[in-house]
Amino acid sequence: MKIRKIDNLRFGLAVLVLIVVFAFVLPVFYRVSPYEQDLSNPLSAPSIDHPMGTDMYGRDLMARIMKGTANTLMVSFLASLVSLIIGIIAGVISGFSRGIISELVMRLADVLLGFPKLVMILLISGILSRDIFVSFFLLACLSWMETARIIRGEIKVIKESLLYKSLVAAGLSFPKVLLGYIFPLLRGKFLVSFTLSFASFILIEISLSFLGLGYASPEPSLGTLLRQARYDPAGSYWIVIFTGLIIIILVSAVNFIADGIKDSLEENVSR
Amino acid sequence: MRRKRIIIPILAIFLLYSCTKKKGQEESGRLKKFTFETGGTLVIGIQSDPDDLNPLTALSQTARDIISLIFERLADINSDLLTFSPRLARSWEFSHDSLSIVFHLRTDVYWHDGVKFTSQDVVFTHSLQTNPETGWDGITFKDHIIEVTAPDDSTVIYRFDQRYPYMLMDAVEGYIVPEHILKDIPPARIHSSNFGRSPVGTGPFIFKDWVFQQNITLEKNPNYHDKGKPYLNKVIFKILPDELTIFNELINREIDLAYRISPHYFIKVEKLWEKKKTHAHPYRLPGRAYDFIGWNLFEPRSYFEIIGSKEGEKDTSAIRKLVPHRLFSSQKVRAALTMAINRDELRQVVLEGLAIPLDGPIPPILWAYNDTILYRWDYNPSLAKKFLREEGWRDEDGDGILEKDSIEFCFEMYTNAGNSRRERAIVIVQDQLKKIGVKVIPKIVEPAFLFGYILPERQYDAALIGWNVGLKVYLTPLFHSKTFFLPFHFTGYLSPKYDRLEDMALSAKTFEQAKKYWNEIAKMLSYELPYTWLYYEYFCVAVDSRFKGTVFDVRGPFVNVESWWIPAEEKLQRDRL
Amino acid sequence: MAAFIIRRLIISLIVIFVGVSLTFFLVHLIPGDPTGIFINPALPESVRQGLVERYGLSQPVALQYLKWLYNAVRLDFGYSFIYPEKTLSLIGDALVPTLALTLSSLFIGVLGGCFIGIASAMKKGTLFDRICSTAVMFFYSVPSFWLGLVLLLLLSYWLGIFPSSQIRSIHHEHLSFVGKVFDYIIHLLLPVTTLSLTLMASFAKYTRESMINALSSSYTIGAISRGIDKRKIIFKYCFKNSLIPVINLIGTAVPFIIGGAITVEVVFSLPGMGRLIVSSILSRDYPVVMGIATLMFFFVVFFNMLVDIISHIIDPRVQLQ
Repeated sequence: MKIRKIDNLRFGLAVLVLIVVFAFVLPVFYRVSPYEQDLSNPLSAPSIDHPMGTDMYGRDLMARIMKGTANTLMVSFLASLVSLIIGIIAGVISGFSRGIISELVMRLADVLLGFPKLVMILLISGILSRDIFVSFFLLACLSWMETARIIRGEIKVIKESLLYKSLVAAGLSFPKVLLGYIFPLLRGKFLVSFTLSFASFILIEISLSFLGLGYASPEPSLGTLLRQARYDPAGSYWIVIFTGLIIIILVSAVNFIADGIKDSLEENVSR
Repeated sequence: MRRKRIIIPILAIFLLYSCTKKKGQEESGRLKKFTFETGGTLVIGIQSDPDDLNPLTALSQTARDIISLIFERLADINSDLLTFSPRLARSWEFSHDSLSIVFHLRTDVYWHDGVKFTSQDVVFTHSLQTNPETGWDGITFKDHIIEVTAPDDSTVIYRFDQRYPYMLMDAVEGYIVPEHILKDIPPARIHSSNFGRSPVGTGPFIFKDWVFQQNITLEKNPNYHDKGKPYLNKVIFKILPDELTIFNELINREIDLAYRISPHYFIKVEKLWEKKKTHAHPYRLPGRAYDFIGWNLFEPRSYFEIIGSKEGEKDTSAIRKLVPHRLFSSQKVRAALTMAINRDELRQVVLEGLAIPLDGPIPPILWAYNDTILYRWDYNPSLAKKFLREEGWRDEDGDGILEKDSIEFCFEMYTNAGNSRRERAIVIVQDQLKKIGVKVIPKIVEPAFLFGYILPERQYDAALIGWNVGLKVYLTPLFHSKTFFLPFHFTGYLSPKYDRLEDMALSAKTFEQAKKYWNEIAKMLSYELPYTWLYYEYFCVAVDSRFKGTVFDVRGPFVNVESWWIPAEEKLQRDRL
Repeated sequence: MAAFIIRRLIISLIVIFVGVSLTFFLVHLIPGDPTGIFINPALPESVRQGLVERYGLSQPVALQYLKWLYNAVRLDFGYSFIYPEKTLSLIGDALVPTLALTLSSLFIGVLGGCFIGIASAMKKGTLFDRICSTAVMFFYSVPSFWLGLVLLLLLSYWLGIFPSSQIRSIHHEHLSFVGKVFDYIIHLLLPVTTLSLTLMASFAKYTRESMINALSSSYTIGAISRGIDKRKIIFKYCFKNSLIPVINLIGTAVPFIIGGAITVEVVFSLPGMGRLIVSSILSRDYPVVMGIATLMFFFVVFFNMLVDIISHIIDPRVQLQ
């Protein structure tokens, strides 16, 4: 599976790279701290010192937006990774086993589907003082179902295929078959799953932080920035708009990538 | 193309209309003539539903506010918080031996369902109040009352077991509830009875309706004993959990009154009012709450082993097993931390200046307050650093954090979520302490977790929280050794001298005598600093200026709602419904 | 078929039971206490203890669980700890605004989304398709509450056209029937618009994809080349096939329907399930939390089963799980 000249994918990747640079690379050059408070200068308008102005504690907003984007990206990335891994494991188990075990995994998936995620987060965040990584780990543990279902379906199909049967007949050990043959085949699906949940986790992080349940102050994130901006919208209409635009661009980019991968997969299949 | 020509002017008119709708211009300079007229609707914005409208079982502050419009007491406290004015009782006197108070009740009072109010209601209320099964939170007010008798329908006698300064307050505390409605319900079942959902009182307003999460509606009591009043027809409590929404609706006149407004929005209202751009008239009042940082004087982990029961068993041997806190057991350290926190800056930034400094345990609104004898730890970071150095704290490895015996000066500070002021304060405190080499890890947790587990089990280092202030000077639950294991005594402060002083203060026969002891206590606590008191908050209220006759003071926003009126010229559409 | 349904029902009930029980233990074993929110030094310890007794919290958790279960099976979810009201009644009151919001948004979102999706799939590559796809991408990527926030700022605060909170005005009682209906509509207009737009985007995206797949599948191309009427094919085959993912998607939207879009409800201060869920958890109102959890589990599992059955009816090739 090659990355072909597909507009979606390239465009999405390009934008994503830009954002990642903005979030992780630029701060190296723009050496203003997103945490340092300057209580004599709250909520100021953009100036030379502070290109995007300051928030209510006098912290530089430019730095905060950069760090915030980085934080959001980081936690969403990790959560998607965990979700993917759990999904793969569950899917493989369910796909290869028969009867009870397979059924059980799917039923477990059902039970968890019914679990309102927000409820879980609210419950857990109470004790752990809203540690964002714990919350997201939990969320990841509640989000693997879709991936598992897809993988399970694919594996069931593969199991019927001639190539698979001959590999087994040839005496290859299970791990070898799994890693050497099945995974490469499903690589595309993994990527699609990962990208889609990446986009979804970004939005979840923003919602959670907006409600006050995500990143705890003083850590900035795209969601907490919106939350703080709402606190004083008159003074910061433009923060709301600007942060919103970054979010839209970011999530669209990721979605474009997901679409692009899907397209290229289809290209491969229909050939 | 023809359509375009119509659309643009229409749009323009539309926009123009909406813009003009927004301006709430006050007529400046012109002296208006007010024509007295009854009627009108008062819409109040509150942030959550009350938990219960039964005065015997309600626990939340919101509930108390609403209840104050529906129910009445024998007498109401005055703004000096010491003397009383008649309400259901028209007069009273002490007996010759000063061990009894005789109340003469009004005879023109009727319950909202039409039944006449009598002394039986008072006696009955007392029996419920003092019955632990009811669960009334003011039960300790009645500790010294032996019995309440009613020789006739309009007289009630309270008999006490001793003479002390608070006798009248104790007798009068608590709203009177109707005997004829509640008498058949077992006290233990009262909290879940329908009465809390649909209360019946004697007050100026009758309960009409409660739609959860939306609003609570009260209507004028046509048979109110204060003839002619209330002047308003309706009072509606509108539930808006979001502060921003309350602010906007206040400015847009969708609500008329908001109180406990956070400083951030209150300042905005004040600015708009100055520029005459809003009808919301802001008032700053001395408040009833203060914030502080409580220091755990013992190591959290050592509590873990000995605290099993929440029932408050006093076990002195267990106390000996406790390990003094590695950081806070030294008074000098606590003093240093106090001096490192710029409380002026906190007040300014967090509360926009809407607070007064507080250095000791007694609130400024109470009679025992005396700020001349308090120890002052003014902001002085260099002295703070010096103190810490003298206690052996140095920055050996140059990482900006002090160490001693290979322990870092690093600790967790808890506060409760949902309180934007405390959340802001904790961030600033963290920053200020960083400057003297102290590392603070803020932990913002749910109130149920903080107050239900962390503090009672003492699993914390420091906590930035606050208390509401009652009417009595009473610190026992916080600092007295007999409450050591109870939830509120979470600092673990122990001092036999303090115990002695407070016992003397509480058993003094007059306020003047007691004051001597309270002065000593305040001085001692302001030196020893089990709490670092941060500030005493103003109570911020804003009310639509069309309401006349409003009185706001330390007692709250609803002191005289029955006397509020709206001139005919200023009535809004909803006032005429 | 009947055997399948019965088997599925039994499994569903077991799933609900397991889920609800897990929730119960989770909620009760987390440290923290419903009495915690009334904390106040003036509160005598005896009263606080009384509260603990009243809530039944001093009993072992297993016992509390059995008691709760016994009542729950008879649909008695008890009284809320915080409010003097039956749990079911509280939930019912909160459910109405949420359902009004989510069902209408879902309705508009699904219809609009499917329409746009199918239309742009059929007109693939045209300007119409490109505009729609860009718009869809925009609304798909935007957090719904941000959209709501912007709409609120613009149309409610700035221009003052729409009310900014709640579901009806103060003087709702005094309105005529028509007035009341209009009052509800004007309060719900902004939140419903917000949610519909985001939902429409999701559904448009999925329908477009599956429609394109169906249109370009070998079956369709083969049928067209054999001369079968194009319209017939599109309606009978393509539509049906593109509806299956839609139905699945609706199935996964069930928690949304009941739970409401919490963030949107917060932004618009709507008195719905979102607010109830958050407040009941934060104040540890156990009976209400359990009532909501049971409700959600029940509906999710039930609807998933329904979705499976309906999918099977529409296209018997779809495997019943």
